[in-house]
Formats: sequence, structure tokens, C-alpha cells
Amino acid sequence: MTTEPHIKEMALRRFWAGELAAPEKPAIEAHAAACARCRARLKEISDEQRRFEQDISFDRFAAGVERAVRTPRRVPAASRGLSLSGPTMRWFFPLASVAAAVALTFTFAPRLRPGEDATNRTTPDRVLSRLKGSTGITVQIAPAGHGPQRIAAVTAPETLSPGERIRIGYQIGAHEFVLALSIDDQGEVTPLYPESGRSLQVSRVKGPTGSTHYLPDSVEFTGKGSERLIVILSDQPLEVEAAKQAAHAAFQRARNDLTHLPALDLPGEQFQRTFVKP
Amino acid sequence: MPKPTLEVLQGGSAADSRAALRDLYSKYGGSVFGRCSYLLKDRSKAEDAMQDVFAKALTHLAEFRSEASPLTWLMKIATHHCLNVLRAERAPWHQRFRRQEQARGEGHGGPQLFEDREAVRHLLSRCDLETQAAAVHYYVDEMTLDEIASLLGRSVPTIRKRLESFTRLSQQEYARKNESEEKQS
Repeated sequence: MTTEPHIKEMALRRFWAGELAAPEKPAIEAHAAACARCRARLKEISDEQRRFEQDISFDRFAAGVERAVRTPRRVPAASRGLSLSGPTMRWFFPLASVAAAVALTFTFAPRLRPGEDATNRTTPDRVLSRLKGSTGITVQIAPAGHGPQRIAAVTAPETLSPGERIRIGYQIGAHEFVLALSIDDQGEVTPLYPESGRSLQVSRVKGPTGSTHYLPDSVEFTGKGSERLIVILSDQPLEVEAAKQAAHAAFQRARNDLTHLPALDLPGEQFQRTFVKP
Repeated sequence: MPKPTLEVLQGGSAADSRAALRDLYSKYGGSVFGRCSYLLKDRSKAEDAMQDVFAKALTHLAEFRSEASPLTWLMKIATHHCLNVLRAERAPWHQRFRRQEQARGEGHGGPQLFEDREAVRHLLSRCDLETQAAAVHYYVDEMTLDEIASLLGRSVPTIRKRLESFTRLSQQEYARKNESEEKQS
């Protein structure tokens, strides 16, 4: 039994990790020898590490960290004073997000060519994007500054310039849910809309059936190599984790060749676009 | 205070790098993963976040090496990273589309609401990021004001103000909860 103040959490963790030397180390050893509460906390820290090692093997840990070093995941934009000045972000979403189910303020506004009607526009891209059924998607590309926008090609990889962003539009009315993810040429899958959970419900979006609505925000691909965007419109919500697994499985079936990626083994209509990153 | 002898930073052979990773894994993996799990409440996201934190350690070796306590540095990075993840998830469109999930998961908080660590986590979403970080380091890591000020690069009075505002918020939350319980009874 001891009447000394208990050792603080961080000090206990540093002690456990072997970071402390004299005079802290012997002082904590002496305290812990007499204090059941601090001994228990040290055991909890030890147990936490043991559970961690049981859950995540070293090989898995090392592979994950090495992958994160090679291709950093999208890091949410940091706020004042808390910036993580890390490697180049793989993805970047502007913070000014808006709901997809309301009229959108576009990060970049998809523009129409003169005489083109937003509701019933029919371009070759849109025709080709209809793998089945009558719905489709539109992937708009905007340059970093001012300049003409364009629609991403369907049948060939679209080469992006630095700073170019994409925005995903879908036709409303035919399907209730949308899910978008991407996979790079290393097989890494990145959920985009949403990042976790289940498909976004878009059936409440107001507007004429068949008109195009755009998902909130735009996406910038950074890094090198290719990236395949996959958009799934469905009538039932899909789990993001299941979609990630399906994308991994498709990548394996394609023998790690992104250009031969088959459709994912999931219900709904699927649309794919390939981008070559700047 | 002597600096720890963490061998991560030589940048030599693949074998050296592997040994450095193993050192990080066995000394700090549990603590960092625990922090990410505590804040994110999602195993998959926590693992991703943990990988990002250790990747940052490997890609910022000089900074990491100069730290008196690698653990404290890692916990700061992990905390900031996860708070930013949570912040991004609270963007309006996320809220809209995840409302049902949130309602199902933590809508009322349950009996554990005011257990210290959970209470801190529950209140985090209502503060700015710097206050969030200060609260986590103070209430969860049990660091002193001086230590937090040094860690976050702010003055002690600034950190004190942040924590005072967090305390006021928690008091309001207690009062609101008590009032709600009285009405129910």
C-alpha cells in the first residue's frame, strides 16, 4: 500500500516502453512495487500490447506501414495548428462539403456546351457508360485553374494534369444507392463515397428523372501510376467493406493488371473510368 | 533526461528498416493502436490510422529522432490524425448519410456516458481541434499543462484556457443530463 500520488498514464506507458532512465525509472519501479493500482495499469498496458500483437501480426503491420509510406492514404485536411505536414496527400477533399441530396454548390461547376441540356444530354460517353440498364454516370474533370472542363473518356485511360480534379455525377431516379471507390495499380482500394459504412442513399434527391446530380466535393488524384474509379448504382445498400473485398478479388482475377479489371462481384450497375495520374 | 535509444532511423538496408519497424511494433504498437481505436471506435479505421502514424514516423525520421520521447510524439501524431479523421467525418454530407448509423450506435451514450474516458470522447466533437487534442492529452494521457503546452507548441495559459472551456462544456453536459433525468423521473 502506498500513499504517494499515482503515476500518470503517459509516464507509465513510457516506463513500459523502456524510455525512462534514472531517476524516473527506479522511482516508478519502487512505486509500482508498493501500489496495486499502478501495477494493474502496467499490466493493462502489457495486455493491450499482447492483444495488439495477437490481432495484428508483425508481417501485417510492416506491410501496412510500408504501403502507407509508398502511397499515403488520403488524410483529411488539417485545421489550424494541427497540420500533419506529411507526405503528399493521395486524395484531397475540400472541407466545404455539402449534402448530395440538396442543390449543390460545386467546387467546380460542371459546365455545358452551348445548346446542351442538362437533363437529357446524350453524349457518346454517356451512351458507352451504360453497361446495362438505362442509367449512367458522368465523370467531369476540371483543371487546377480556369480552363475548359471535360468529361472523362470511357474506353481509354484519361491522362490527368497536375491539379486536375474529378467530380462524379449520376442520373437520379433509377437507383436508390450509390457507392464509389478507386483502386490503384498496386491494388490498393480507396473508398470514396462513402469512406465507410454503406452506400449513400440518393433516392431522395429532387429533380427530373434522368437528370444528373453530382456527388459533393471533388477528388484529386495525386501520386503516380494509374487509378481506376468504380461507381456502383444499386437498389440495395452495399457495405463498403464488401465492396473493398470485391475490388481486391477483381484485382487478383485480373492478375494485378488494372487495365483488365473485371466488374466487381456485386449487385447493381457498375461504371468504371481509368485515370493516369500526373 | 536521457534520450531513448530507438534504432529506427539509420535508413540503411532493408534488414535495418525491418528491425526498426519491429522495434516500433513491439514498443509502441499497442499504445498507438489503442489511441486510434479509442478515438475512432472502428477497428479497420484504427488500423489504417495506426499505419499512417508509423509511416509518418518513418518518413520524418529526423523529427522523430530528435524527440525526447518517441511515445509522446507518436501519441500526439495519432491523436491529431484521428481527430482530423473524425472532423472530416462530421462534414455535413457525412452527417446526413450516416445519421441512421450514428443514431443506432451512440445516440444516447448509455450508462457509460460519464465514465471519464468515454465522457471525454463523447464531448470532443463539440470543441475545436486544439481543445480536443489538449483534452485527450490531459484527461486520457494524464499529461501536465506544461507537457501539453510543449507538445502542442502553445503557451501554458493557452492550454489552460482550452481546458477550462472543455471543463465548462462538460459541466453543461452534466447539468443537461441531470435535468433530463429529473424530468424523466
